Parts: sequence; C-alpha cells; structure tokens
Amino acid sequence: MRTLPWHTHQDTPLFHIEKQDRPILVSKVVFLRGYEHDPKGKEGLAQFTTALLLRGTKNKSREEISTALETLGLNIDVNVGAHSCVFNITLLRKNLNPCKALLEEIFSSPAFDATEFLKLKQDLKARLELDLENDGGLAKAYFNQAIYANHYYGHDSDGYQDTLENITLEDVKHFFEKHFSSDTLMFATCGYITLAESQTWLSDFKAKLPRSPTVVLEKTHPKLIEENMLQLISKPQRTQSHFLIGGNGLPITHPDQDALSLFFETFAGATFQAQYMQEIRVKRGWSYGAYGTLDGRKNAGGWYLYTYTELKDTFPAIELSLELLEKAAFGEGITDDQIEFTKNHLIKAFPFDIDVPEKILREKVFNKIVGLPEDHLEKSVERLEQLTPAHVRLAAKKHLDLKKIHITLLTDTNKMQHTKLTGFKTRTHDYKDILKSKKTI
Amino acid sequence: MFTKVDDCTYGNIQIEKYFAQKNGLNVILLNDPSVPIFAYHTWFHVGSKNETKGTTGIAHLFEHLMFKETKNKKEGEFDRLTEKEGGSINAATYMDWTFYRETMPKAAFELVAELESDRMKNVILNEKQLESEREVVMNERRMRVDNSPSGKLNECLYKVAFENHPYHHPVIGWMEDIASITLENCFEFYQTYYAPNNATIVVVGDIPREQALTTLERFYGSIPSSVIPKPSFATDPVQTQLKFKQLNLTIPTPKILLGYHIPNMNHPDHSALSVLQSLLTDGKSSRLYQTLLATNPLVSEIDGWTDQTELSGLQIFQFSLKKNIDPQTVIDQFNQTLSQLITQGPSEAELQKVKNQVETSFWSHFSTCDEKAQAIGFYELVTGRYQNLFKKVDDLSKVTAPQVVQVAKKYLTTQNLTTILGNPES
Repeated sequence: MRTLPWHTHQDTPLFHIEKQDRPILVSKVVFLRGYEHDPKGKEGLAQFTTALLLRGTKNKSREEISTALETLGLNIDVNVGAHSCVFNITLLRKNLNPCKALLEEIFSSPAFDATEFLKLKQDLKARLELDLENDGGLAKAYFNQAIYANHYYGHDSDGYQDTLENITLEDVKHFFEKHFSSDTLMFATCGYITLAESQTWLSDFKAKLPRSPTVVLEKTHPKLIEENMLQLISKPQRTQSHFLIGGNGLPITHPDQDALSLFFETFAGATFQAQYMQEIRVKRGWSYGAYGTLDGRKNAGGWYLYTYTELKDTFPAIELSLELLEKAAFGEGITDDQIEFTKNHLIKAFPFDIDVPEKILREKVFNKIVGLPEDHLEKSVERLEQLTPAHVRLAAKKHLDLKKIHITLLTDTNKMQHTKLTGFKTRTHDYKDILKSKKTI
Repeated sequence: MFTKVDDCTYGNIQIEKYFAQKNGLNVILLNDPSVPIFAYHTWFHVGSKNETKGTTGIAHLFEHLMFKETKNKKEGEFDRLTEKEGGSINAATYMDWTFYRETMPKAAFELVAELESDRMKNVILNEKQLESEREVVMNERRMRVDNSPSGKLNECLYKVAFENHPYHHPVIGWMEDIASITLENCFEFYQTYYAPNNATIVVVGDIPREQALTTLERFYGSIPSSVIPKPSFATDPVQTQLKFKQLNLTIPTPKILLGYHIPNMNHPDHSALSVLQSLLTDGKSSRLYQTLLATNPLVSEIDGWTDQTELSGLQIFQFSLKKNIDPQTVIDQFNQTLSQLITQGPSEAELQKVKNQVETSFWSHFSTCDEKAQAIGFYELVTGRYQNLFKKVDDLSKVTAPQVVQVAKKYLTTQNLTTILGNPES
C-alpha cells in the first residue's frame, strides 16, 4: 500500500482523504495534550475541560450550543487520551459552513460558566458511580491501576471522586489556555471534502486559537511489578467472576512490539483458532469469550489475558490460563504452524483495516499521536511478512516474566470456596474503592 | 435458477433482488468494486419469537451450534478455513431473525458459498458439543443479564409488559430452559427453520452479479425447501392499566425503565413514534435531557429507544437517578415534559433537527460492506422489503408536528405503560 502522507499546512499537521460516496464528512480536531497533564491530586482535569468546553460559549448557552450543533445534524464526541484530546466530528456536507462557524465559536470563546462547572462536577462524579455497574470495565480499571502504578496511564482520563472534587474553575480555564492552542493542534478530515477545503478550514480554525508555550513534561515510568500478586475485588451478588492476568509490557514504538503482538494474537487473539479461546471456551465452555492482547502505549506498555467465568470455574480457569501461558511463552505450547497461520490471517485481513476512510483516519491520527512512523499503517503487511516464529518466541521469552504477574479478580468473595493462589500474594479491595485516588494497589 | 424480482436505486447505491423458484431462496446483491472484499450475510426468518415454552433460548443456542460440524466439515474446519483466508465471522439472534455473517477478501467467495450452503443442510450434532455450547450460553447469560443491572431491568420489562406475546421471554432464554434443551429439540428446530425458503442471502462488495448468482446456484441449487410452519403468535389483550415491578440491584442509585406498547415497524405510526422518541431523548438538546439532566439535574443518564420489530414492541425510556432523588419526582417531570410536547407540539426547528440527525446517522452507519449488508438484510426480514431501508429515511423526514402529537397521545399513556424500578440493594 502506498503511503498516505501527512501534509503540513501553516505548520500544522493535516491528514486528508477525499471520498465523495456519501454526503457526510468526518473531521478529527486533535490537541496534542491529554491527561498526562492532569496535575497530581486533580486527575480528571483534561476530561473536565473538554466536557465544559461543550457546555456553552460566550454567546450561546449550553442548551443553545447543543441545539445549534444537533439541528445541523452534527455529531461530536471526545476521546481524552493520555497524550491528546480528540474531537471526533461527523457532519453533513450540506451544512459544512455553519458547522465550521459553530466549532470555531466553541473553541475560541468558551463560556466556562460557573453554574455549569458545578453541575458538570456532580455529573462526572455520578458517572464514576455508574461505571461500577460494569464488571468487566471495573476489573480492567483496577488492573490498569496495578500495572501502571504511580503513573498517569493507571488513572485513565476519568479521575476519581476526590480528585474531581479538588478541581476549580480556574484550573479548567488555565488548562484550556495552556493546552488547547494553535501550537498543539492537529487536523484530519475524510469524506466529502477536498484538500483545499480542509486547508481553508484548518486556517480559519487555527486563526481563532491562541498561542501557548511549549510544555516539557518530565518523563515518568510506572512502578514495575516486582512479584506475583492476586488482587481480589469484592463485589456482592455476583454469579460470574471477571479476571485479567497480565504484567508490564512494551511501549508501542518498541522494536519487539510486532513480534510480541503476534505472539498474543496466536495464543489469545479474538479468533477461534487462538489457543486460549479453544481451551477456555470451546473445549470447556467456561466462558463466552477469552482473549489476550498487548496494551502498548506511547511511554509504557502492558499485556493481559481476560475472561469471565461462573464462580466455580474461576480458579480452575486462572490456573489453566497460567499453565497455558507458560507453555506458550516458554515451551512448545504454540507451534510454528499456528504462528504462521495467524500471521497469514492478519496479512489477508489487512484490507478490512483500510476499507473505509474513517478507519484509515483513525489509525493515522492514533499513530501520529503515539509517535509511530508515518507509514506504520501502510507497512503493516510488510512488517508481518518479515516476522518468523523464531522472532515471536524470542520476544515472548524476553519480555514475559511469569514471576511478575498481576491478577485482578472481580468476584463475590463471600461465595468463593477459597481465594488463594499458590505463588501469589493476595490483596483485597471493596469494588467501590476505585472511586478513591488513595489506595494501595 | 434465479429470476430478478426487483431493484432499487438510492443515490449511487444500486441493489437487486433475486428469487429461486426451485427452493424459495432469496438473494439480494449490492455490487461495490471500490475495495476487494465482500460481506456475505445469511438471514433466517426465525428468532426467539418462534420458540415454545420450555425451550426458550433455542434459536440462540442453535446459532452457536451452527459453527460446529457438518457431514462434510469436521468441528473447527469452518472457523479455520474462513480465518485462513483472512476472514471474520460472526452471527446474531434476535426476536425476529437470526443471521450469520462473513466478511472476506473477494477471492474467498466460492469458499463462503460452499461453507454456508453446507451448514444450511448438513449440520450434525452430538451431546458433547451441545453441553459445551450450553455452558458457553449460560455464561453469556450471566454476563449480559444476571450480573448486569441494565440487562436485568430490560429482561424484567419485557417479562412484565408482555404475558403470552412471544417477546415476553428473553432472546437468550431463561436459565432453566437453556439448561434443559435437548439434542432432539435442536435437530427439530434446525430441520424446521433452516431451509432455503426461509433464508435471504445478502452479498455486498466486489462480487459481480454473474459470479454471485452462478456460484450461489451451484451450491444452493440442490438444497430442497422445507415446510415452514405458518407463523401464529399469541397476542395479549390490550393493556388497560399501569403495570409496575421493583427489583433490588447492585447499583449506586435507582433506575427507572418505562415501556409503552407500540405497533410493529410496518405500522403507519412507527415513523412518528421514532421521531417522538428522538425529540425526547436523542442528544443534549432533546427535551428530556434538558428537563431532567441539564436544567434541573434529577438524573445522571438518559436513554431511549423504539423497538424495530415484526410484531408489536415497546418504546422505552431509561433513567439513572442522581443521589437522593425520589423516583416519583423523575416520573412526574417526565410526564410534565411529555405534556408540554403534546400541548405545544414540536417546533419546525426540532423536526429539522431530527431530519438532519437521521441523515447523518444513516450515512455514518451505511459505510462498510458489512454495515450495508446488515441494514439490507434487517429491513428485508423485519419489514418484508429491503427498500424500506431508504423509505424509512424519507418517512422520518416527512413526519409532521401533528403526527408526533397524535402518537404521543395515543401510545404514551399511563394505561399503556409498564414501569420497572431498580432499587439499590443497600
């Protein structure tokens, strides 16, 4: 696949694909600052700022701005990542000009109204409590906190109830001025829009934004896992457990990322050929789904296996998972044929990664944010073709340490016959502890 | 074998439908040469509504079993052969339909036709496979319902709102029924409903018409039709008073689910009902978002949806309350908001908003081959005409303010309502 290049327009990165098959277009307005800039004790500030940004301008109330956007058929949703805030916008071609005008107004003159600020604070704190209802999401949140201990990747964008409480309106205004500027901007468009139109849009939009100084953050690393730990998350009235088994991994730009990723795809990918799915679901019926993956991020990484089982099958499934992982990583648990099969599957499946412009846009923007090469997407097949089973096995042996594993198990501990695992220390939390920033993970 | 039934053009989209007199197979084609891939969907006109008491969940459980073994392919071969070609496979079961989908590189078209036609007529089952998938489905039920507050609330709503009507029981089935379905039940289900005259194949992608029809004729031509039972579904008497039930759940604050009986998707009132629900709950400028969340925050979450079903369904509104808010206050405010809408009627600006939102949503979700195939198959099965996919977009944009008011008065009444209240266990 030929490389689809990023342009630079007025010193701002711009990516564009024109395809006039539908009367809509998609735009990503990206600010290259994310929750890594949340001050300590005020985690959740980046998220707070993006949310308050959409709650009114100096000329329009919250209701008026929502009405104006939605009347035009414009959809806007925001992803706050560690290194970026991405505003994903879908709009009708016929309404491009009024949509552009509204978006310029939102970003150039936000209201940051004091009453809306207080309401939003309560809304976000309530949202954290609603997240307690999702067992899988909750287990993952605890798991992330463990493998990215003392690091911003551990707290994700949401923050905690106590840290949200600490945020002031001045904090939000200051965060906005410091990080949402023409200097941190990146732009991407696809669909029913030409390159010239995208460039004009970018110029007009950028002109409305202030400048901001460069910010250099001290690079931090998560506290690495030093020993095997079983973290029990106690939640009542469960008839099913969720668990993740994993550990520290590689940053996404690491040279061994592809080889280790292929290991996890072979052993625990989301296909029925993957050994983990075969053993847990197909042969034993212990779960509806079982998979594993790398969690490679810009400045650190992790890996995990994940599944959910009936209570009685929980510990047998954990023990089997550890056994399978050990054999796969250090023995002959997966064969060369299996690795080649997975590799060829991924190569042949590549057209599905690029079949619509939206998917290409998403990948290109993500890759740029995390610092991957410009042609990372386009060279996917080439990189896969160069991998051999030997590469894969070497990467697994080198980067997986089965003496430094973290297991997060969310379950009804009152109903479990035992909660001990040989070779693992145990720590227990009430499931609601996730709401608080200060706890020992 | 195939004769053309009709075709349809919408913008630059062209769709053709074919029918095989020999065995009743329907085929719908959308040729898109822009990318060298295709989506292949096989829709069977059977879902949970066709289940009988004691075997609820069999449509879904059987869907799982379709991936096992045939006379010609050992267990695991289906997955291996499709994944070897870079394909992705899946299936889904709902109240009115079951569909199986593959998205594959174009070179694999013949392979998919061979595999799908093979499992339409040649599935073999054994007890070990049934037991294994039974466990998987029971775990799926635990994940989607038993350990999910919204899953439990939703299941309770349909159970209470409907009594004899086939939407009373959940698609996944009651746990005790999943546990007791036999191999014989499964075979009978397969032989009754899995036949060409109960199937529609939808192919979207870089597969020319001639290739598609020739290949499908080769693989499906010898499959005989089956005698599909004439559908006969129990109905409930018209509801004449409010139904109410409470559940205790592991939730931080109360939740309310309101379900109003509404007609099926082909009914003339359905589009106006969809617009009504959108005005009330879609987006941050919607009426209920403004009155319940933005202006006077009584709730932290609002959701609404309108069933798109072959039989009469429900229009549903769901709220997660803020701390220390009395559920009655939320219900009162809901009713007040609804009354205002009925009294004032929606404005032209609001209707224009819905029209634009519908248009954005339609084109956003009519993008990949798979999305297109799913939309086409869904409308063909549920409404009887795939063309209704585009007609629906037009119908929604033509709904008038008096029509919205009329359906609100007619359907969103207390007598027509089932309320489920979820209370925090603590």
